[in-house]
Amino acid sequence: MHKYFLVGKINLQRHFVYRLNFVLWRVRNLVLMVSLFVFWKAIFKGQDELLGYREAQILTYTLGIALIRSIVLASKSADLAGNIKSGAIASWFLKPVGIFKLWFSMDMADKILNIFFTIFELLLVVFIFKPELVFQTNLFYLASFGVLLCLAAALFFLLSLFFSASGFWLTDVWAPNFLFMVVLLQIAGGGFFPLDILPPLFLKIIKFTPFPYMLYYPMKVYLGQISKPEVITSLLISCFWVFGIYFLVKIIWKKGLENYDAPGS
Amino acid sequence: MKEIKRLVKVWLLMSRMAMQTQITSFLAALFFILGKVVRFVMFYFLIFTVLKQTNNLAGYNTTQVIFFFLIFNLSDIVAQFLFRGVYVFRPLVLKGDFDLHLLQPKPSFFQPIFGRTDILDFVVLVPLAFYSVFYAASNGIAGSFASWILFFALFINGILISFSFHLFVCSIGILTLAVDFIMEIYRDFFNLARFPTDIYSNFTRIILTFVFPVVLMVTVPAKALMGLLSWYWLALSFLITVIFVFGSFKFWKYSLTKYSSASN
Amino acid sequence: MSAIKVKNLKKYYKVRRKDPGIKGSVKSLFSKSFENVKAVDGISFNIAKGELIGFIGPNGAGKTTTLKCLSGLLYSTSGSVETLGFDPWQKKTEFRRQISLVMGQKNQLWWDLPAMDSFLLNQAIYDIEDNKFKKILEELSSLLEIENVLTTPIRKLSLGQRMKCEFVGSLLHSPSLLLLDEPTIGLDVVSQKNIRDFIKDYNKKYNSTVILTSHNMEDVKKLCKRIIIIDKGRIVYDGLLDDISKKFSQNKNITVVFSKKENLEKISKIAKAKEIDSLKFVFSVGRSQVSSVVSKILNDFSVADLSIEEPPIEDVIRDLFVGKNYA
Repeated sequence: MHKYFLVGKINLQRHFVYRLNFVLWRVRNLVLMVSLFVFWKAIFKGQDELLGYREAQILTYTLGIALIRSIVLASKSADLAGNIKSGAIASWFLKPVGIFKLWFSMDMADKILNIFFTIFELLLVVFIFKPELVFQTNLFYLASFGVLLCLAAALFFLLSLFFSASGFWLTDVWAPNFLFMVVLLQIAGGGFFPLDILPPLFLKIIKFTPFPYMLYYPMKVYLGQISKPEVITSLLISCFWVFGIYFLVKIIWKKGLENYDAPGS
Repeated sequence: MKEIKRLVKVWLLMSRMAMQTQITSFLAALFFILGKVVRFVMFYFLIFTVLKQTNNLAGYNTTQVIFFFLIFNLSDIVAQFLFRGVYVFRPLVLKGDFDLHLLQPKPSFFQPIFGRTDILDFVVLVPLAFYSVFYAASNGIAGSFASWILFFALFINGILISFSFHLFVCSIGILTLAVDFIMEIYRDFFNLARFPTDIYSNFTRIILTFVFPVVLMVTVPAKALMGLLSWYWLALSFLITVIFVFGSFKFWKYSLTKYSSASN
Repeated sequence: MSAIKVKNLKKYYKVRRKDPGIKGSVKSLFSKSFENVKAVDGISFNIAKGELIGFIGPNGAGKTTTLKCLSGLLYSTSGSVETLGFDPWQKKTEFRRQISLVMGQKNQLWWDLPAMDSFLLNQAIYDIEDNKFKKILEELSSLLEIENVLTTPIRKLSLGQRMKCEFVGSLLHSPSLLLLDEPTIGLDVVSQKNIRDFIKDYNKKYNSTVILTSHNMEDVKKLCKRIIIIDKGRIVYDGLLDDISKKFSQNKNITVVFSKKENLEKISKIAKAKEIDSLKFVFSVGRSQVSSVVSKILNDFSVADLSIEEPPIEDVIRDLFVGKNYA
């Protein structure tokens, strides 16, 4: 157990080694948060309500999503595919560590750092712009939000592992990562704007994929904008996806390792 | 001239070779294109739905806003098509293989900037370009024939700004290896131009004109076509391009003197 | 005619220091502490066209840095460098067409494609005429025995084959100056010999100037007449290989094979044995005492064979680096 903690600690240090890199990482997150914030403020100029949202709600959505991203998303597991492709992963197999646990602890280190600084950046934005925000008080929604968040984080981790496995078969691992983890998860998954703004057909379709359950639904539950039965449904569907992907990951990794020919000498 | 011919030939050859390494996976190509399409469609719908309600964004009507969006995508994809090398520059430097490129008779920035052309960008670019022109023509957006000329000139101007920015990022890449995040910050600022930049506060627009000249790359060419551009902006655009291009070359030359080349 | 003129070349680096652990990491965020590394600290030498010389020195001596300054990769902190009549830092096209720097672990060939594709790319970059290209490709690939692997993707080749392909790729433009940084590292013995023979032939045939760095003394001994020894960024020796022993070693080696087992104590009274292998003894003896020791041994013992040699270059150089005995 201790060795995973150590790996996490070393991973944390890596961030500080390239210190300019680190500063820019934070600036980047801040810019992303602020740019979306400013966009919605501009759209809402002179409007009280737009597409079913009050300004306070959509600003809460934008800032809240930034926080949720730091909790649910992580970047280390995305490197995994590249490692498979280059053969670097082979050296890990030779060491006495469980590779999934390893990546999990590296992700954890990433997340803790990210969450810490995101909260700081959030407070900065709130301090500068002083927006009106929505604060959830209903226990049911808060609790469901918490559970959904945990499921979301697990789901993201498992999906990363699932798509990383593409490194076993594809020479260009960037493409599936781009489509699923960037476009579908972040854009079509509510990471930029709430999905119910779009024509309802869209949400009807994407509800059946795992993607909106990582960012969109947790945020909607927090905002209290979906009915209680729907909350339960989304919790159940999240669970379903978590277990489903877990099994798929086990299978695909087993297959992948069997066929693996670890390139490089 | 002969030099440029040789370099273009080399670039085409490199692009072909890159295509060969990519086409080994048809599935990956499909995912890539699908991803681009989905992203485009989603934001297209966002604009459409938002504007259906508000009818007007900072004084522009729906058609115009959509056109801004199209030019944004066009500029984005042209830059990605030409300058993708930046994204793979850091591993090149880390590993030390950049040395071998510096030794070859080609401009030192050739590999860092142009070294990774992706045919798929081209595949996405062509229909988008045609659609944009078609959209502008069929909706009567253009002010006059002169507007088209101005538009192309300013669009290319914008690409030059993009080039100098990518070169700047490469220089930073040599000095600190922090390439990825700067590119992402640049993309985040660039994404602000999805919508007419007039919607942002004065302060933001100043940043977007003089620091990350996104306004000059997207909004200005689009406005030029609409016949809404003043002489002031025209002059400013070219002036800033000259400053940026000149500055980025100077900085690149400087960063090469600091290049320390990974040891064996 | 000088191919290379180096005068008082200096290359200094600033390297950041960091304490270990998380505390050290956070500390390094706020305070900068630099260390000045003097990779090359004032070296001067001239190399004539067509010479084949070796650069040797311990790791971190500055050999590779020097080569990189010669080729224009690194910006010299001070001093002047003139390569083939050009200032290498200007990176003129004409200059870069004539040089090649081959570094063992660095790759220019495209990983997923066959070597041939990368070669054709180089042909376009260097603007090599088709006939000339074909001819030299045939020559090089047959010499290094890689004709059959030219159409196999690089990632499927073994390290040795890959390095040979990289080698060929670096020479397609028939450079008149060849800078080789550890060209045989990681190769099997046969490949090492192939490359060595090739370098020798290339140098002779095209009268191209060759500078070679290597830790493999076989390479140096077989190829170079003139040696430049670098340590801590300074030139320690610049002269003929054969003269190294004479200059740096006070001793000579006497190898004696006795006809029968002799009394060890008796032997050790005459000279200390450096190496003992049953009946074969190797003594390291001061130059002035060689004749007296030899006559004593021949007188007192029955000897089957005796030879007197300069100590192996490897030993001299090793002792040089360890003892820093730069008289």
